[in-house]
Amino acid sequence: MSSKTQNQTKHLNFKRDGLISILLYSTPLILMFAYFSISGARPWLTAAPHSSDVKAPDWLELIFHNLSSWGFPVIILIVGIAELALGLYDKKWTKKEKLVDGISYFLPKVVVRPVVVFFTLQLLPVLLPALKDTLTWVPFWWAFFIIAVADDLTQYWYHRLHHQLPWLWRFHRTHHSASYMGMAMASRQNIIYTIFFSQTFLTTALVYLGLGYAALFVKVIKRCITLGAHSSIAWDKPFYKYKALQPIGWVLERLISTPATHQAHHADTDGDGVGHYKGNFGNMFFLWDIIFGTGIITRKYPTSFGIKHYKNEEWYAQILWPIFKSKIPGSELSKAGPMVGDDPLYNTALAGISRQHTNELASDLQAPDEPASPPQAVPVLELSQNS
Amino acid sequence: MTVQDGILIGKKILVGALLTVIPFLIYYFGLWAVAQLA
Repeated sequence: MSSKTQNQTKHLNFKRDGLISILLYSTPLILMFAYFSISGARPWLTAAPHSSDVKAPDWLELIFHNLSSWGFPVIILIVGIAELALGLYDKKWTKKEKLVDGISYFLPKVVVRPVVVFFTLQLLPVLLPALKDTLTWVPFWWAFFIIAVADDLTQYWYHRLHHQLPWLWRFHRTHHSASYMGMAMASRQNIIYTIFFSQTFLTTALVYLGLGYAALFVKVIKRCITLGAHSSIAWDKPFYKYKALQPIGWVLERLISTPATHQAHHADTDGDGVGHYKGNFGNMFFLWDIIFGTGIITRKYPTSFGIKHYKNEEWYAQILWPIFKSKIPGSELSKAGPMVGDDPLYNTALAGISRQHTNELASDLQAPDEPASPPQAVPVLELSQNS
Repeated sequence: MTVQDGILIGKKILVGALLTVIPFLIYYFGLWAVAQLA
C-alpha cells in the first residue's frame, strides 16, 4: 500500500469514527426525545429544579460528596499501601519516579484545578451569560447519562489523539514512562496534558448549564473505575477464573476499563498477544474501544510496563515539557530529540523515506517512457509509540 | 521554550478546543431541540 493510500485510510478511519462519535454523543438525546414523546412528560414546562425528578438519598449524596473531597485520597493511600505490601512495584519505584508521581499527584490538586475552575467560572458568565442553569429541567438520570457519555467519550478522543498523532505524543509520554502499574502512577501526567483536558472543560460547561448534580455522581464513579483499572491488584481475575462469574466478566470487560485491558495499554510491548499500547484507550468505558475497533481483550496481564526507550528523564522535563526540556541526549523530551523515540517502526519509517528518496532518484535516471517505481509505504501514524 | 514550542501548544489547544466545542454544541442545541419538538 502506498503512503498516500495508507494515510488516506487512516484519515478515513478518523472520519468514520468522528461520524460514529456524533451518533454516540446524540444517543442520550435521541432516547430522551423518544421517552418524552411516548410518555408525554414535559419537564421543561414546569421549570422545576433539576433534582426534582430523581434525587439520590441523602446518605448516598453524603458518600459521593465525601468521596470527591477526602475519600479518594484515603482510598488511594489504602490501596497504595496494599500494593507496596504485596511487592507489586518490584523495586521499580525509585526516588526519581516517586518525585514525578508525587508532583503529578499534588500539582493538579493544589494549583491546576483551582486555577482552571476559577478562570472557567469567571469566563463562562462572560461568554455565555444567558445560558446559566438553562438546562436544570433535565431529569437526573438523563443528565447522568449525558454527562457519562459526554465526559468519557471526549476523554477517549483526547487520549487516542495523543497516541495516534505523533506530534501530540510527548504531552502524554509521562503517563507511560512508569515501568509499574498502581495508585502511584494513576495521576502521573505532563502538566500541559492535564491543564487542557477537553472533558474537564466540557463537563464544567455542562455543569454551568445546570447538569452539575449528575456530574458529581458520574465523576465519582469514573474515578473509582479509572483508579481500579490502573491498580496493580488484578481485581478482575476472579471474573475470568470462576465459571459462575464469567458471564459477568464478559460484560464487564467490554463495558468498563479493567486491570487486564488497561495494563495491556501500559505494556512496553505490542502484538505479543498481551500488550496493546496501540489501543485500549478507554478510561471509564471500554465500550468505545469495542465500537471503534481499537481494543483487544486477552484476559492476560503484561509482565513489563513503560516505554522501551525511556531514558530516566529529569522530573521537570517529564512534568513541564516543552517549557523545560531534558538534558539527556536522544531523549524525546530533549531540545533536538526525536518526536517519537526508538520504536523500530520509527526506523522503518526513516528507511521508508530513504527508499522513497532513492526511488525518486532512480526514476530520474530511468528512460522517459519507463514507468517509475511506486513510492514505499511510510507508516506516519504508526510512529506513535506506546499508545 | 521556543516559538516552535509555543506553536505546538497552540495547535494542541486548538485540537482540545474542538473536542470540547463539538459535543457542547450537540448537547446544547440537542436539548433545546428536545424541548421544542417532543
